[in-house]
Amino acid sequence: MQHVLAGLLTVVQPANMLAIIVGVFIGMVFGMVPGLSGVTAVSLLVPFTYGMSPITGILLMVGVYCAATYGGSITAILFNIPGDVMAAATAMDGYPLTRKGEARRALSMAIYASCVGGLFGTLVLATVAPQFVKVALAFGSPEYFALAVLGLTVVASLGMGSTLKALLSAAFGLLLATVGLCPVSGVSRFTFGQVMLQAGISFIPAIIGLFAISEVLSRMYDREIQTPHDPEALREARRFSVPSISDIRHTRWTIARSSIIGTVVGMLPGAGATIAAFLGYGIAQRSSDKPETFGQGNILGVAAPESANNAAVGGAMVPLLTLGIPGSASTAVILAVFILHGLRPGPLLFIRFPVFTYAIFVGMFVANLVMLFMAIALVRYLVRVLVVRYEVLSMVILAFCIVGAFAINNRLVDVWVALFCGAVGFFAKKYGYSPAAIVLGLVLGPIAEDGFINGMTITGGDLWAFLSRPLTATILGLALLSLAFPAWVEWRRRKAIPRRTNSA
Amino acid sequence: MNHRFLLPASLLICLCLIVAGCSPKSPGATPPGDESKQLSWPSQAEVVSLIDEVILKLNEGKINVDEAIAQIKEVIPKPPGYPSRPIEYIVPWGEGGGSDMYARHIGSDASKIMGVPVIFNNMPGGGGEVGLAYLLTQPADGYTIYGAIANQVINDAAGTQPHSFTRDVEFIIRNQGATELFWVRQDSQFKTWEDMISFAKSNPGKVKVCGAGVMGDDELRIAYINRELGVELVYVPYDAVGTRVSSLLGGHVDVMHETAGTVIDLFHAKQIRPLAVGGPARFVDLDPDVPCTEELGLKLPIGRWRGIVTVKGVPSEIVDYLHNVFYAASQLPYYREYEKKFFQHLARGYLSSADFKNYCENEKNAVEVLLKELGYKK
Amino acid sequence: MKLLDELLKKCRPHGDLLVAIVLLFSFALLRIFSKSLIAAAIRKGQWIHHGPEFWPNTILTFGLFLCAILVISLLRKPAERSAEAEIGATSVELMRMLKVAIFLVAYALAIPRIGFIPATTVGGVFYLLALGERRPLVFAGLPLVVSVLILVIFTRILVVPLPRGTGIFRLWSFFLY
Repeated sequence: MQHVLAGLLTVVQPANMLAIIVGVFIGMVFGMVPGLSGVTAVSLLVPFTYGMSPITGILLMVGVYCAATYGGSITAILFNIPGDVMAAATAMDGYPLTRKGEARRALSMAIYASCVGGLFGTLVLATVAPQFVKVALAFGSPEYFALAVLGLTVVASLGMGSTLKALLSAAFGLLLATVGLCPVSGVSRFTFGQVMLQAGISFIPAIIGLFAISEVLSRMYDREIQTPHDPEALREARRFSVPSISDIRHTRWTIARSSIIGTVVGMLPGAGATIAAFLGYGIAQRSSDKPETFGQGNILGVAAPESANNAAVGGAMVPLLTLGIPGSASTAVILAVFILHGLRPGPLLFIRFPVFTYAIFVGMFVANLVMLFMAIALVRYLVRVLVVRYEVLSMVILAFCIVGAFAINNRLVDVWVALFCGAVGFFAKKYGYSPAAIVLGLVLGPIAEDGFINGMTITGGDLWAFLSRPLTATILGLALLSLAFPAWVEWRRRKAIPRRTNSA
Repeated sequence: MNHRFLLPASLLICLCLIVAGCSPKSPGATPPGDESKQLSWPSQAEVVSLIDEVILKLNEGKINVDEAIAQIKEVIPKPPGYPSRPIEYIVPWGEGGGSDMYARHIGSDASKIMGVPVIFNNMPGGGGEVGLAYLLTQPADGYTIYGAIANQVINDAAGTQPHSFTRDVEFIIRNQGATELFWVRQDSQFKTWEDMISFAKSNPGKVKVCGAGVMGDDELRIAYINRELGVELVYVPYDAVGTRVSSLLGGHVDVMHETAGTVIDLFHAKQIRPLAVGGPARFVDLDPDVPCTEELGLKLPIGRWRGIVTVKGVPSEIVDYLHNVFYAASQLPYYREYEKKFFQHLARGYLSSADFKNYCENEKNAVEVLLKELGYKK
Repeated sequence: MKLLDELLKKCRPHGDLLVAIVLLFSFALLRIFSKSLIAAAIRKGQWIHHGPEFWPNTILTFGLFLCAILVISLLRKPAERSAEAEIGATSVELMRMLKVAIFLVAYALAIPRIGFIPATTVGGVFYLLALGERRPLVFAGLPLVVSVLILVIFTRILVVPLPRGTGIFRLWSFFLY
C-alpha cells in the first residue's frame, strides 16, 4: 500500500502530470487520424524521452498508448473511419448512431466505456498481474489457433445481413491476409510477381478503404447525402457531454463483461486489442435480447468494443512489466524506452523498483481519467463537423485517407490497396456483406495460420495431439457453442412463431 | 551586377565547359584532376585510424562530444558538393524494431557530422525486400541509403526476387555482428549443450527450437546443426519476439535462439540460461563460462548482422565518405550507449566497405547450399 | 440519362445474384490456379507438415462452398424486392459516385508523377468543382488549407517522405520539404 502512495506522489509531480496530459492529447490526435497510429506516436516520441527522467518518459508513453486506443473511436463514430484497427468494431454501431443523429450520445458512451475499461484493466494489472501471467504463458500455437477460430465465430453475428454473407466476407478477409510472404514457409503467395505486394495487405490501408473510402462512395450513391442533425441539439451549449443515466445503467453489465474479456485477451502476446474488441462486441450481441438491433445503432455495440479494447491496454502491460514480453507493436516501443533508460521490464522490475512500477499503475489510472475529461470537453466541438456539407467534407476526408494510407508504411502500393478495398467495401455494403467481417478475417488470418502450422510442428504433425490439448479443446468447444447457440435460438423462435417472416 | 566580372567569369565557364567536354573523348589518357584526387583521397582504413585518434581523446576526457564531432568533420575528406540535401535512410522494418533502433541511433550523430538531416523512411514488408525494391528505383546519387540485415543475403541466395542484393547494391559499412545465444529454461533437463545434443540424437524430432521467422538466419543455423551433427532439431518460427519468449517460458518449445539484449533480464532473474553462444567467440561481458559454438566444433553460418548499403553506381568517393561518417557515428557515445544497453556490443560487428561486400558474397554461397538442402531452392 | 435510370431499375434486382456469381468465379479461379500463384519454390519440409498452399486452399475451398450455397439459395428465391428499386439511386447519384471514383484513381496516379502536394491542391479544386461547389473561397481555399496542413503535419512534424514526383516537380518539392 505504501508503494501505491509513493507511486501517487511520483505521478502528481508537475512534470509527470504534464507528461501524462501531453501524452493523452498526442495519443488522442494520433489515434483519431487513420494512418497515424499509436505506434507512430510512441516511436516518434522516443527521442524526446531522452531528456526526461525515466518515469516521466514512461508516463508520457503510457498516456499516448492509453489515449491512442480510445482515439480511433472518435472518427469511427463520426465518419465511419476507424482511426486504428481496434476501433473497427466500434464503427459498426457507432456510425449508424451518427446517421440517426445521435453522434453525441455515441461519442460520450465511447469515452465513458473506454475509461471504465481502461481503469479496470489497470486495476487488474496492479493487483493480480504477476499471478495472471502464467495463464498467458499456457498459450502456445494451438491455443492461438483456437482463439482465432473463436474470434471468427463472432463473424456469424456481425452485420445485420445473412450469416452466409458474413461468413463469406470473413473468408474473403482470410484470403486477403494470405497475400504476401507466407509466415511459415517464406514463399510469396498471390503476389502476381510484384515485389511491392510481398508486404501483403496491411490493416490500416485496408480499413481506410473498407470503411472510409467505401463510405464516401456509398454516401455519394445515396440520395440522403447529408447527415440529419438537430440544430437545436447542437446549439444547446453543454460544456460537457456525459452519457445519460439510463445509458449507463443499460450498459453496465456489457461493459463489465467486455472489460474482463479485454483484459484477458490483451494479456496474450500477439492477440491484443482488436480481437478483444470484436469478441466483446460478439458476446454483447449474443447475450442481448434484441440481437437484430446490433449493426443498426445499438448503444451496446459501442460500449462493448470500446471497453474491451481499452481494458486490453492494461492487459498488454502485464506480460511487458512482468516478463519483458511485448504483446504489440506499441508495447515493443515502450519496452525500448525502458531499456534506453537503463531499466529492464521483467521479473526483477517489481523487486528492484517497486515505486517506479506502482507509479506506472497510478499513471495509467490518471491517464484514463485525463482522457475522460479531455474527450468529454471535446465532444461538443467534434459534433459540429457534421454540419459541413458532405461534398466538401468528403474532400478533406479523402485527402487525409490517402495520405494516411501512404504514411503508415511510406508505400505507394498501400494507396492502391486502400482504393481496391474501397471498391470492395462499396459493393460489400450495397449487397449486405460485412466490411467488419473482412477486417476480422484479415486480422485473424495470420494468427490462425501461424497457430495451425506451428502448432502442428510442435505436436509433430499429430492432429489429435493438437486438438486434445485441454486449453485448445476448451476454446474450440466455446467456438462451436457460440456458432450453435444463435442457430438454436433462431430455430426455437421459428418453431414458436411458425412462418411469420422468412427474413434470415 | 558588376560588369567587370562578367567577361572573365563567362570565359572561365567556357573554359571549364571545353575541358569537361574534351576529357571523356580522350580514352586512355587519365584526366589530370582525377589522378591528383586518387593521390590525395585517403583509403577507408586511413580515415578510420584518424577517427579512432579523435575518439581516444574523447574517451580520455580531453575533449567533449561537440569538439569530437567538429574534429571528426575535419578528418573526413568530403566529396565536392556532397551532401547538399537530406539523406533518406530506408528502414525496411517497422518502427521500434531492432533495425529502426540501429538506424535512429547511428543516424543521429551521422547527421550532425554531415550537416544535413537524415530522414528515416520505415518501409516494412517482405522480409526487407519491399524497401530494397524501392531503393533500387532511386537515382545513384548517394542520397538514399538502406539498412540491410542478414535476410537480404538469404533472400538473394534463395533467388526468389527480381533483384539481387549482392549484385545490385553498393556496400557501405557493417556495424553490428550477431549476438544470438541458445537459451533454455532455468529448470530445463539440459545442463549443457552436449546434454541437448545427445538427447536430440537419441530422440529425433523431440527437441524443438524456436527462432525469428522463416528463411532467416535462425532457421539456417538449425538446419546447419542438423546436418553437421546428424540430429533432428525441429525449428518453430515465430515472427514476434514476445511469442518466442513466451513459448519458451510456457514450455511449448525447449530451446530458443535469441539475441542477448532482448532477454537479458530473464537471464539475470534466473528464469532462463544460455547453453551456447552462436558464433566464433564467447561473450565475456555476459557470462565467460558459456561456450561458443565454434569451440564446440560448429562453424555456424550467417548471423543477425546489420549494416548500410546504397544503390549500385554511387561514386566511390561518396561511398567512402558515407562509410567514414557512419564509422565515426558508431564510435560516438550516443550510439555506443545504445549498443551497450541492447547488448549489441558483445560481438564486434565492424566491416569496411570491401570486407562487407566479400563477407556477403561468401555468406551467399554458403547459404545457397543450405537453402537447397532445406528445400527452399531447387 | 433516362436510359440509364431504366437500366439501373432493371439491373437492381439481379445485383445480389451477380455479386454472388462473381465471387463464386473468383474463388474458383483462384482455387484452380492457386498452385501457380504460390511461388514455385515449394518446401519439401524438414519440419513443416503443411506447405504454403495448404492454408489458402483451405480458405478457398471453404469460400467456394459458401458461394455455391449462396448462389443456389438466391436462384431458388427469385428477386422480389421491386419496391426497393423505386427508392434506390438514380443516374444523378451514379454519376456523382463515378466522379468520386474517377477522382480517386486519377489522384493515386498523379501522386508519383507530380508529387503529393500539387496533386492534392489541384485535385481538390477539381473535386469540389465537379461536385457542384461554387463558392470560390471554398473550392480554391480548402484544398490549399488541406495541402498546407498535410505539409506541416506529415513532412515537418512527422518527417514522412511524401512522394515528390518526377522531373521539375521533384526539384520544386525540395523547396517545400
